[in-house]
Amino acid sequence: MAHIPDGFLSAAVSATTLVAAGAVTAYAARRSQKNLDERAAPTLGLATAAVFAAQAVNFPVAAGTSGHLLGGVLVAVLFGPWAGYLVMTAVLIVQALIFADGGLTALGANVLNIAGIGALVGYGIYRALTALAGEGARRRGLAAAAAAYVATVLTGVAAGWELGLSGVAPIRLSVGAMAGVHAVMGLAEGAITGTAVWALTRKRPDLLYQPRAPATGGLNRAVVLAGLGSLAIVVGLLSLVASAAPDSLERAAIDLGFADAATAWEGAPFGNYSTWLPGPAGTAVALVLGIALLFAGAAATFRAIALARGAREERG
Amino acid sequence: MGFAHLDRYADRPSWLTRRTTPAQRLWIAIAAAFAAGLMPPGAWGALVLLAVLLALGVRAARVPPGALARRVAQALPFFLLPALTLPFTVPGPTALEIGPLAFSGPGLVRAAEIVVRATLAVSAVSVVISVTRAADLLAALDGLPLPRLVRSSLALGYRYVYVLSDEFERTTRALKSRMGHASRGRVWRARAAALAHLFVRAHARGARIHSAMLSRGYRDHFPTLQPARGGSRAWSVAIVCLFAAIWLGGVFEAMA
Repeated sequence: MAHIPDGFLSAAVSATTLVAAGAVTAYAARRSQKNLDERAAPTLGLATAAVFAAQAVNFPVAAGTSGHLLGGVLVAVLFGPWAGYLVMTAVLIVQALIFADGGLTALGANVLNIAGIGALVGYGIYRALTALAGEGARRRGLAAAAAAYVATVLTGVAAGWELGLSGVAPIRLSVGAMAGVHAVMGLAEGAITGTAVWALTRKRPDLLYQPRAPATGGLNRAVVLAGLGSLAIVVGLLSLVASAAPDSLERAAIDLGFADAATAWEGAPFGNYSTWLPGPAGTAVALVLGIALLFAGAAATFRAIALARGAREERG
Repeated sequence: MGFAHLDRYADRPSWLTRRTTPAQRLWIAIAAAFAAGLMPPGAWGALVLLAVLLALGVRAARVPPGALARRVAQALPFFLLPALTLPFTVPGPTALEIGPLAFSGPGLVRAAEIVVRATLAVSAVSVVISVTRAADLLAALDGLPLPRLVRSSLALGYRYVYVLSDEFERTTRALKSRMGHASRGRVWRARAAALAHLFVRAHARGARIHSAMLSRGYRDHFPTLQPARGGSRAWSVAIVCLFAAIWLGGVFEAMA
């Protein structure tokens, strides 16, 4: 579901996303060439092969179904965001051409959704969380899991916007449905990514991508603020759409057989959209507040764990 | 996962393979996929024209229609399932009622259009892919306007995907033989650890390949021993233009 096939996007959306993806890809190529020097080609080539091999492994989910890894956050944690983006782009090109998984006309959109959001945004969230929480194996694993989950949901939201703008279905329907599907799929992605990063940090912490310049406090704070800001903006936009007709959103979810997604929607903080402000503005405020609260809560918990660890190590 | 379907019909001489190089064929496939995939709603005449052209292409490439149908059937769930939701989600007057299900008229039309467009695009790409050898396809990909790092990732990725999946299979087989009747949580953890180990191995092999490449004088490019020969530029340009013309015709048809 994550890959948009041919025939769904309009010419305008297809062309816009292709141009945008091309620009990001060119920039990413420059950045990773600088980061990796001459080792770039073999490192990225082998990473591409590894993602293909990894996607063949099925993880048991529930009731006989299974899922496989998309891998954006995992690759970014290992090879850096820009290199991870290029690896995912190469994987998407092969999938579109050889496996008919995702269309050629939707390649730009799929690259932006899966490589862009998976590797770039996902890595941003991961960095923000590790900056708050610290570097231990378990904390890194949890941060990667959270980043992979959020990135997967955002991938669905972006795909929903692209489908909606193409006129396939009303935007609020497509965004709601895609976000709902990916809210379920993201659970597996988060769990697999988190466990793999946990195992990697325990085995070979030296292999994890280390940003060139050692991060200073100011930079970390900036990364955190940027992550928080972009999250709030995206969710705010989403809530504006959703609030226009929350009923039809739930209906779509039920029609599509994602009743759980609908209940998850309702169970969100400030669930029934009832706040002191009337209309869509109130809903937007409620959802932004809800997400900000969630983020602040996660951050505070991570920070608290890190502080407790530090204190115990000092004593012992 | 398998690349077996790639080389299946590559060695059959056919009208298409005689007249086009793999790179030209790739551009034809891209043009066909774009013409079909981006056809505006309501351009049924142009879609029929594309279908006729595709049928001619299948004959010209000498791909058995049954084999092509199987390939398309494998890709079908990717677009059929999302399209099936449209009759229920697109608003409009109800056209059909089966028990509790109410299909909206505009939704049915839109779903049908999407399925036709996607089927045509997927079959066009499959025809070209199945008459082209994997190695030739990679050389053809080298000609696309992609950054050098993406092209080298594609080339190296194809060269080593079998090596890595074999290694990974050995790891997981060893894992399975030691796990017994483990709980689901343990299976998950072990598989994720094996996944992490796969990337550790990929990293180590990448370092070895790097020194091997250096010692053989690698200069940013993988040379091919058999440069593509033959092909006729005029034919490929004509076919690409034909697809573009059909798409434009479809745009006008939709506007009219």
